[in-house]
Amino acid sequence: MIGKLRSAGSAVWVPPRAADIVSVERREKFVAAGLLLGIVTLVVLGLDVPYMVENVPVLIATIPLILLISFWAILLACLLGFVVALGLLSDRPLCYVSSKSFVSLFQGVPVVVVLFLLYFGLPHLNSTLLLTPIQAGILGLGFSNAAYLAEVFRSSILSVPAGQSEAACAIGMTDTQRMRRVVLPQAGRIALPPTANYYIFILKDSALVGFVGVAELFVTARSIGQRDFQMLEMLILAGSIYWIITIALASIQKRLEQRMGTAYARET
Amino acid sequence: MPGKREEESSFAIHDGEHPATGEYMLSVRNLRKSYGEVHALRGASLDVSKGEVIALCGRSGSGKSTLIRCINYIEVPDEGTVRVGPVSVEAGPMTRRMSRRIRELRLHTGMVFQAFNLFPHRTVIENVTEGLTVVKRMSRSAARDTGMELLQSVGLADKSNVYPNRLSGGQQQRVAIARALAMNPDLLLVDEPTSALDPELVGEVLGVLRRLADDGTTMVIVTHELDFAMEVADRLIYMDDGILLEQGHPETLTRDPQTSSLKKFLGSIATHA
Repeated sequence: MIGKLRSAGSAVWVPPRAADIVSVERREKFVAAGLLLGIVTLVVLGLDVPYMVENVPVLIATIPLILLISFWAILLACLLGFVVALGLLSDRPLCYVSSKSFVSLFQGVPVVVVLFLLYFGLPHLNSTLLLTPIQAGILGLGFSNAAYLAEVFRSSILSVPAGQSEAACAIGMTDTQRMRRVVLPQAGRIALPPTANYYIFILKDSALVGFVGVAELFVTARSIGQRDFQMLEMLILAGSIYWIITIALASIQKRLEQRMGTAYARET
Repeated sequence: MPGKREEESSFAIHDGEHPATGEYMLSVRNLRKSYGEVHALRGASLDVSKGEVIALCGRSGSGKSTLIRCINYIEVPDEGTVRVGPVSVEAGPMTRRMSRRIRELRLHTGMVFQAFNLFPHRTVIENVTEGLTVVKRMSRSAARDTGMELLQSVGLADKSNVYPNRLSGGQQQRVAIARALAMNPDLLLVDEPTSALDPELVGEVLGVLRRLADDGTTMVIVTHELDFAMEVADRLIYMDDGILLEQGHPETLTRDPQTSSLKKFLGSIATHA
């Protein structure tokens, strides 16, 4: 009966069973079909596919750089975001107000502007504050995303049921023990998927770092395209590479989630 | 200070020993708690002797859960004093010293919740040993021995390595009881232990509590299971509107209720049965 309802596309919701989730082999077939479809489209559009293939290695060579920038940026964003989240949850007015201001500021100012302020603006204040483009990129992406992650962490901490804290207190834990042993492990599991999403955002936003002179994927693609008057090819190529990296990251994210969900798995 | 004690003791409903003599495992004096305009506790006082089992009953909203949660300061009372074993805490501003006292109080008090509140990210044995290793800094192996012994006593030794979500509600509650007992508390607070359970699982939890009562565990149990209360409780307390309205031996109290409120309450329960 349930199966029938499901196949009929009825409005009745039934939880997916493990067997219903697309299997790995089927997914691989989907990917292969998608790839084929993509290449056919490129040919139909009249794009110079051999030219694109020829330039793949140059663009791939920039991947370590954008992974590096986004890695340090997400690390900074997580650490800073966590501290700010604690500030947002704090009773102390000073902690709360400064955290709230931080969030408001970096959520309100575009990443590019932050980036330009760090790279071009800071040296005006003091010449020792001259950052390399990569440093500016890491800091800019880190600060901006810390503001968003702070909200993610705050709500994750709040979403751990109050009963958990009560149980921790009831066995005599201190506040620190309660946070470290009971609340944060559970909040972390809730925060993981959105945090991984922010990592993907940061990776894509690393294209902005090109504006302060880092030869990352997008800027490299654009300059080659301009040089050879093959702009569309290079942009599509760059876009595809971002997309593929993103897919890879998403699959790592999924595996991580599964691992962290061990205690919650309904089926063995 | 002694003069103050004298004055406070006048609030005690339970006559007999002077509370300061320390004969009681739990002494609650004039506890008050309000949520805005709602007065959940309006001066509750209670003395519980060592080994005594108290059953708290009353309508929902009568303040029984608030009382039991104020005893270990999971809910912070506005006014009043709680003493468990050797630790006494008087309600007041939440200073650093105050939170240390509260923590000390909690070390002498175990609590079992209506919703179990097991740690979902830890296995059954880890749930039971968490307090021992983290709070009491016991070695892992010693904690494990104690934990396994307790799991054995609640009949769940074979489940020690599974996560709580694989257990039935009754099993989860038995683990929660073992977790509370692991800290070797002077007093066990039990807040509606069977209210979240399917009817067929109630028995196993009550069975464990019954055995604890027989073993001389000092307990305060909030319960709707009047039959169970009659069987295990040394004293039944009926709460209404934030005060302990009537109390006495379960048989006497149910046979001969003094207030119309308790009469009505007993009547409403009888019609359910």
